[in-house]
Amino acid sequence: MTKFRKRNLAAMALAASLTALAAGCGAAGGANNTAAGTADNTKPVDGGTLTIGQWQKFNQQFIPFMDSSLYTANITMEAFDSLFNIDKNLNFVPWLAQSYQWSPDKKTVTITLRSDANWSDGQPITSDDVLFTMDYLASPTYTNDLQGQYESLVDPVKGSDEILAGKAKSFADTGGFHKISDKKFSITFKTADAAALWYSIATLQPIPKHVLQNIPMKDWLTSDYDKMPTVVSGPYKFTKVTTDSVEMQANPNYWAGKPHIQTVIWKTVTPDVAPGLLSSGQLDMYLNGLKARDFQNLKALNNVNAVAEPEFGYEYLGWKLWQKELQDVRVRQAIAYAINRQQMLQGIYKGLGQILNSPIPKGSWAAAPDSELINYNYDPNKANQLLDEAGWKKDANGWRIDPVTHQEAQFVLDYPSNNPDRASEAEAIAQDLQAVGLKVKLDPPMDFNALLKKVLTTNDQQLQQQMNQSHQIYLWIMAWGLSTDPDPRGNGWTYPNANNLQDWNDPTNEQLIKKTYDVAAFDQNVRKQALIEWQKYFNQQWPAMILYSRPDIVAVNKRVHIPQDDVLTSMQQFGPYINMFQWWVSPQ
Amino acid sequence: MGTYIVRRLLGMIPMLFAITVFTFLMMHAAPGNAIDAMINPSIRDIEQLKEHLREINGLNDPLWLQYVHWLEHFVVGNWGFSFNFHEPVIDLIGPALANTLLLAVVAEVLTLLFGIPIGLYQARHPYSKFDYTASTISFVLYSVPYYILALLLIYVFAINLQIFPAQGATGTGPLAGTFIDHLYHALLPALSIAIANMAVYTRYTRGAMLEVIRKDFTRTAYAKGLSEGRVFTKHVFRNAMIPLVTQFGFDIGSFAGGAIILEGLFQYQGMGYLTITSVNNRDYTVIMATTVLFAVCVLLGNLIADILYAVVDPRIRYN
Repeated sequence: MTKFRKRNLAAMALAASLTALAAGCGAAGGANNTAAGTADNTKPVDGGTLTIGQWQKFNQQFIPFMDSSLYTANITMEAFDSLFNIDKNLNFVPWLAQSYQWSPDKKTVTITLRSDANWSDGQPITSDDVLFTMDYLASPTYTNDLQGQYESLVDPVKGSDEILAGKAKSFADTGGFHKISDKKFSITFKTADAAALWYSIATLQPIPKHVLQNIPMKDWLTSDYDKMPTVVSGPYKFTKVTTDSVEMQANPNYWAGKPHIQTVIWKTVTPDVAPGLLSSGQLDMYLNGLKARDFQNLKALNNVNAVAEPEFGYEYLGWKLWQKELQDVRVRQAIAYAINRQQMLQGIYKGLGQILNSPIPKGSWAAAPDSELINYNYDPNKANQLLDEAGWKKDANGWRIDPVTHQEAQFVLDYPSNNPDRASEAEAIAQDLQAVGLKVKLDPPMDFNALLKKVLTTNDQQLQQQMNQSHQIYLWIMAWGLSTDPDPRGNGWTYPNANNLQDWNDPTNEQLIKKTYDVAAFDQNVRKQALIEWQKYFNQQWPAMILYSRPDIVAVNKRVHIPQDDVLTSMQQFGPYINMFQWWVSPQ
Repeated sequence: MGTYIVRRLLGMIPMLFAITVFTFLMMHAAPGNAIDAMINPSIRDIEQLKEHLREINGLNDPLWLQYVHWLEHFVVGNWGFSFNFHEPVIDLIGPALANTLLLAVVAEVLTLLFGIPIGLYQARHPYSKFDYTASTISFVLYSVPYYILALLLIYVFAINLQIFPAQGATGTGPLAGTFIDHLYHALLPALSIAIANMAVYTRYTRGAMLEVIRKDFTRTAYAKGLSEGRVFTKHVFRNAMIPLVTQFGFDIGSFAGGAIILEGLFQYQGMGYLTITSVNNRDYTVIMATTVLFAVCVLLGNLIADILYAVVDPRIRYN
């Protein structure tokens, strides 16, 4: 394994230099992409082919929610519309669901489907399809036989527990779903929760009942329809699927109009080779995984637009709040001031990426403005001062004394081995902390699975024992990718919660989080304000050291024209773009 | 010979058994599993889901029981479910094995087609300009790691000249998925393997030939008045083949393993790619299946090499 990694590294280094070569060639050759420029006042042209590269192989599981790979989801997204879409500021907007209305008690939402939305075979998309999809996700067959992971999408709906337990068959029988007409239905939730619709039903992609009802659900996993769905609701239809590529054609019956681009091809391409293929025009677009050090080379290509934007997530330095040393908020803040995040971004990510002082990335509508937050700029003097105040005196050697153990404080830092950048980050953090007198021991890099196992809350007693015996203070580096809705419960900031790796148990925090989804929060402005209040508390308490959003790099050939409205203010799993059906490509 | 082969095949069974036990233990000694490693912010109660998945996948059973279950199912062809690829393992192995075997066969054919004749020619004209040139080139090619060669080949043939596809085991368009399409995609990765292997075969061939040429029986053959061509083909080459057969046996052994780094570079969906992805994700069922296949291949490769010894060397008899 180690051997493999080393070799792989060498290969990547070489690939980077090859990119430079390829860049040179592309410029000299002039290639085939002279009609560059994404000026959007030009008239869209129909036809053409868009070839998209993804880093990881998709799974041949194209019934929505059958598997949990993002690389599969990116493809199925073009074939299956969801009830709600997002706009450029990550707000949910009506899509297949044309309108929605809450009942006075905020437990029931009535949704009207678009009257013009049909399946690609001409059948209308109906309330029955939505119910069929919800019953699929709630069924024990889905969770047990198909090993599906998205039961949580229907979990907040009334009756989901009975269906999962086999006591009921359908939400129609449990009071969770009420069909009003073919295009109108209502869904009743277990509780009034302002976030529930957004983290559950909003992203539901209905599947065609009239096709799938004839196949026993336990056989869906191996059915022809799963390997290549023939009836779809989205802008693109599957036309050819092989082990490593998917070919799709425009769906002429798409309700929002026939897509401009005729053919979309998905390929699996390594980030080592992708820059070369982008420069030669064999690849039109590459999603996520390009290296920061390749960014300048990509930008220099005259046929490619490369954008580097902060990921929708963050890297963080975690610690356990059951450790007495870290229960003092001054110590946590001192660590924040001691670490030079700007320099880390500069050195490791070529100055790309974005420093965060709250766990909601700035691209979200719910992100607290900088003016509302403590900005933990690099300030070792302030860090020293806070540590002094907290009673962490320095000994003769300049190391600080742990006020709990009365010995030289000893931090130990773990980081995953899956990415060489993690090692640089760990070293930078250790150096910065040592500069304010905190001794840090770097553990050898750990396999990600092993690290996660070590820090999981379910494993805490073991870790606690280990730390107590060795008088050490435990730190780790990890990263979170986030879902679109900013609900703090999703990323484990409540207690108890398996994702709450730092074991942050704070009644004020719980109260503030509750305000982000209570009845009042159904008003988006109230919810936003509640989320900002929560972020301010988080920012002050600093239960974990949020470092920054790392850069994600997406490269698109200039012959691909993407309307301004389809460019998001932040990265998502599909890069910063939406609504592929509105894009068009210049003829070659 | 027949009994020998049967005896060897039967001898493989305990060996395979030991390999599976060993692999199983090694994998479970590593911390974490595919389910524990799941992090998904859009799943609410993830711990409950993990516990449920561990339960239905039998990961909560004692280790020995897990092994017994695995063995029972494996023998009857139920190779389990890949958590990472969300697919029955057997459905993953089929295409991956086919891709890898195609790659291996094309690479081996290229290797033998060029490697042996070049070695032979060098041996017939030792210390000639051709010999020195070929030796130098093969040393250079042998010293360059094949993934570097692969990147160079991709750069030249796929990105600049665009004669070969850069990535994948299949393409798009009307021919996608056909045998010709597969072959077309296998050529470039096969060439990267073959170039390094060719160097090995030319060196072996040349060395073995030159050694046999100095043997007494070669002189005798010349003394009998046989033509040079006849001496080379009938006497020298046949004897020189023995070390080549050993190497060939090794090659067969590594056929099903695929080339992990190379398949990664080409995104070639073969056994190597499948294995490394599964190892990184602790996808136990896939790792067990691929390991057993590798083991079978290595054992069979050795057996084939031993049989070939008997074919090329009449002095070796197994009964």
